Parts: sequence; structure tokens; C-alpha cells
Amino acid sequence: MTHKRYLVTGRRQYRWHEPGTVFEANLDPDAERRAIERGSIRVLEVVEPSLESGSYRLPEPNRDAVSGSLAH
Amino acid sequence: MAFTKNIALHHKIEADGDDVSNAFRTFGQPSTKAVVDASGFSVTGADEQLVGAKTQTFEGEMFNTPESFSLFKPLFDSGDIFLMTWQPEGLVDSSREVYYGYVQMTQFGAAISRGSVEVFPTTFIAADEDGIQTYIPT
Repeated sequence: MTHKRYLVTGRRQYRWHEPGTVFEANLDPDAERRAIERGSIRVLEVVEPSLESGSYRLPEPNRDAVSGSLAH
Repeated sequence: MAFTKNIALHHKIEADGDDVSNAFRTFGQPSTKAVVDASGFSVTGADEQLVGAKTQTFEGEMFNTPESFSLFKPLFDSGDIFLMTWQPEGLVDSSREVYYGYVQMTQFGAAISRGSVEVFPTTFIAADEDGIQTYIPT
């Protein structure tokens, strides 16, 4: 799921995050728009989780289960 | 049985994500239930009543400041639905209960008196079927 990294730019806490701090969240689009318009937060980065090639391996098939099902 | 009492000084209030605790000097979450008359003829003549629909609001007195104007006036004008939370003593005790709900602002507007601090009443009504709920942080 895509989420974003935000900087709290206002002089007040935003969703319990102190001014000047960075947080990650998946905010409601309308709430995000309003917060940006009034200067409470700024989008630093859109985070799109992904798997890099070679960083994962498919599970081994369960050969016993396969042979068992064939026997019936 | 003893009850833990305190002077209201550290309430935490958030509106649309922003900490607005310092913008209010009074705040609360009144809930009322309608009383519906269901009386029939009887020997006693006593009323028979049922509890009906529940009305929930956040209400408080807000200081008339440029900051509160820039945050709340657009929300009032647009009729946007936004998340509001209130945690009694939450600025110093994060374990206290939290009242939260999606609301719309129905009362906003400066009404000031010469020589007095500028405050005015505000009202936020529950905007969806979930109403204003509570939870205790774990």
C-alpha cells in the first residue's frame, strides 16, 4: 500500500507529531489537502513498497502433499 | 469510594489533525437522548416515556485569533467533515480516555466585548453514524 512521508511544518502538533518531525502515514486525501493548504504538513516522499529483484524466493512446493493427493 | 478529581488545565484537543488545545478555554462533549412520549390512558395518569435518538456534539469557547480563524473558518465555510478528538488531561497524561468522531462545524463567529478576552462559542456535530465514540489508549 502506498503511503507518504510528511514533515510537520506548522507551529502546532499534527496528529501527535511535533513541529519539525517527520512521520509516515496514509492520510485521507481531503484531510491531507487541507493540512497542506494551511501549512501544517508538507509531503517529503511518496513511499511505494516494492520487492527488489533477487531479494525474495518463492516457497518450495510441498511434495508429500502433492503425491498424497495424486494417490487418491 | 474515592474519585480522582482535578483542575481542568491540560486538555488535549485536535481538529483535522492539528493540535488546537490552546485555542479553547472551555470544551466538552455533551450527549443527549431524546425523550419520546409513549403514554396511554391509565389509572395513574403518569407519563410513559422512551429514550430515543442520541445527539452528540463537541462544544467549546474558542479564542478569536488569526490562527483559529485560518484553521476553522475554511472548515466552517466548506462544511467539510473532519476528525476531532478530545482527551481530558491528555497534554500530561496520554493514558486518559479519548473522545473522537468525524464532525461538521455548525457554529463559528466572533462576538467580542470591549476590554474582555476575545472568545466565541463553537459547536461541532457528529457527522456520521458512528457518532462520537471513546477509547482508552493501551
